[in-house]
Amino acid sequence: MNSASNLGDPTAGLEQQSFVERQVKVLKTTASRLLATPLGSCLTIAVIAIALALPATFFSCVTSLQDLGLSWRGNTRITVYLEQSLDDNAGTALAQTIAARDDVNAAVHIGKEQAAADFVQWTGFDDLLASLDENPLPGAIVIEPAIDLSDEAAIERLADDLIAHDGVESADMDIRWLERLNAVLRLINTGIAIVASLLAIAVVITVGNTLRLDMQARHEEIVVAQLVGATDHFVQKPFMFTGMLYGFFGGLLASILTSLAVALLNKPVTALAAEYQSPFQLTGLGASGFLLLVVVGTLLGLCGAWLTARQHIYRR
Amino acid sequence: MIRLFKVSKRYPESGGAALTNVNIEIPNGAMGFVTGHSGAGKSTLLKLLAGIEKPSGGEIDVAGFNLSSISHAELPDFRRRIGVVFQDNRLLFDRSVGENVALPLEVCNVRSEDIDRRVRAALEKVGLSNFQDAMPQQLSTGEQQRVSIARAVVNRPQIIIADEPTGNLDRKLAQDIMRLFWEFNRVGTTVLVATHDIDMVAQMEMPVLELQNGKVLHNHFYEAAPR
Repeated sequence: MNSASNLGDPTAGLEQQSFVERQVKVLKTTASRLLATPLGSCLTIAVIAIALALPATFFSCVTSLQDLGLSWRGNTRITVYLEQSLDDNAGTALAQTIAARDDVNAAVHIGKEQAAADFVQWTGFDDLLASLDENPLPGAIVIEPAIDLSDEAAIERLADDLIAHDGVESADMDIRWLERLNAVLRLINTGIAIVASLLAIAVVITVGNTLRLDMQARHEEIVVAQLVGATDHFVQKPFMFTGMLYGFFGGLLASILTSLAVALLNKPVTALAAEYQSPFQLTGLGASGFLLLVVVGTLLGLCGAWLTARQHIYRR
Repeated sequence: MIRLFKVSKRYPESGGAALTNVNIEIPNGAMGFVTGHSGAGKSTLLKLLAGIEKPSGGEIDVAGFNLSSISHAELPDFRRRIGVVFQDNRLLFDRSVGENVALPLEVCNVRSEDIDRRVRAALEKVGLSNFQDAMPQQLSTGEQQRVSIARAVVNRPQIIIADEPTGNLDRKLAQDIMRLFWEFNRVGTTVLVATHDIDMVAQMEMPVLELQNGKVLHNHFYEAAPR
């Protein structure tokens, strides 16, 4: 078998696998190992999926609310309530004056009678209104501003100008509560980011711990492989692939779970929104979100595997 | 070539010196024994030669590698050029005989067809060609040791280092194993076998390095000179 000429050259006269062949081989071996312990593999994947799906679902809901807020922001109006003493003709004239301003797109006058009709239509309290001696509702002017609604100083200036008009009782800006909603959503988003970060660490730890046990179980194999010339990279690779597969399938399952959760939530949310005459509905992850979750899962799996492999293989 | 110059090895935890001032030079293609009683330092010497441990002092050159200063990254390349037979075989019992023997070629990323060809040749050489698909636990102790030898030679190493390869075998099996080593040596492989079997050493009539308390008692090889 031996010939003195090529002793000591382990690959003399042998063909080596290409890079792709090597990766495919390790991937196949790793997949076989995972399939050999289906319950353990599925549990690990499920833990990763749940850890990823929780923040993804919350994030999906908050993003939908933020989108809704943005669409409302575009429709934001300033409602100017007129004094009771101001008649409808004066109200219409004031609306025209306001509409002529550069910082106003449109101004629509709602007369007292119209206000009463709207009140009855929205509340159904027609008996209540009929029982009163006179219509208590003031006239109003609904104004569509022509300024950047995120420019709070400009909004304040416009509001001050409007209140300064004779016959104006007060000005109510829809934007205020929208700002509050956005502030709450930002707070929730920060909370989700913190929870997501903690759960991402949990994914890394889960993968790391699973692989640590795997490495302990395969300790002898690792040692023997190193004794016959395996590089750290060679020994590490199957574990990296295992972590990657855990993360990939965890991410994939998380994407599916998130889509399912959003779909399940969407029905009651849509029904609730319809009660307020809103077309609001939750938007799912979308193709990019779906892909992102899979990529994030895969990267977290790789990260967990890398950290564990460094600790257990490189330190030998 | 194997060269040890003023090599010493201390284990801080035990406090004692396992090897002290070892000077030997073993030329390419030689075959010989390392003998000595238990605790003489045989296994320590072989671990140093296999790059499993580093010396506390002195210089070790094996197969062109300076093991005193070898880096972690260079170790795999060195280990691919030597074959080591362990006293306890160190076979993987969840892999078949063929897969065990294939491991040194697997780590070199050799194609499956070539691995298969080399594994069959190695198993044929040790008389186990029909056991490629068997599991190690199905084999006798002697057969397992031969699988270990097949794994050590499948890479066509320049040097074979064997630590008590016949320790658990009867006389007949031990002679068979030694004959195998001799056959590998005949084609140019340097073979160094650690044993405490004095009878076998006498029978083989080969150079001996005898250790006692970590020091060289007799050296039938050469004395290493400073460079």
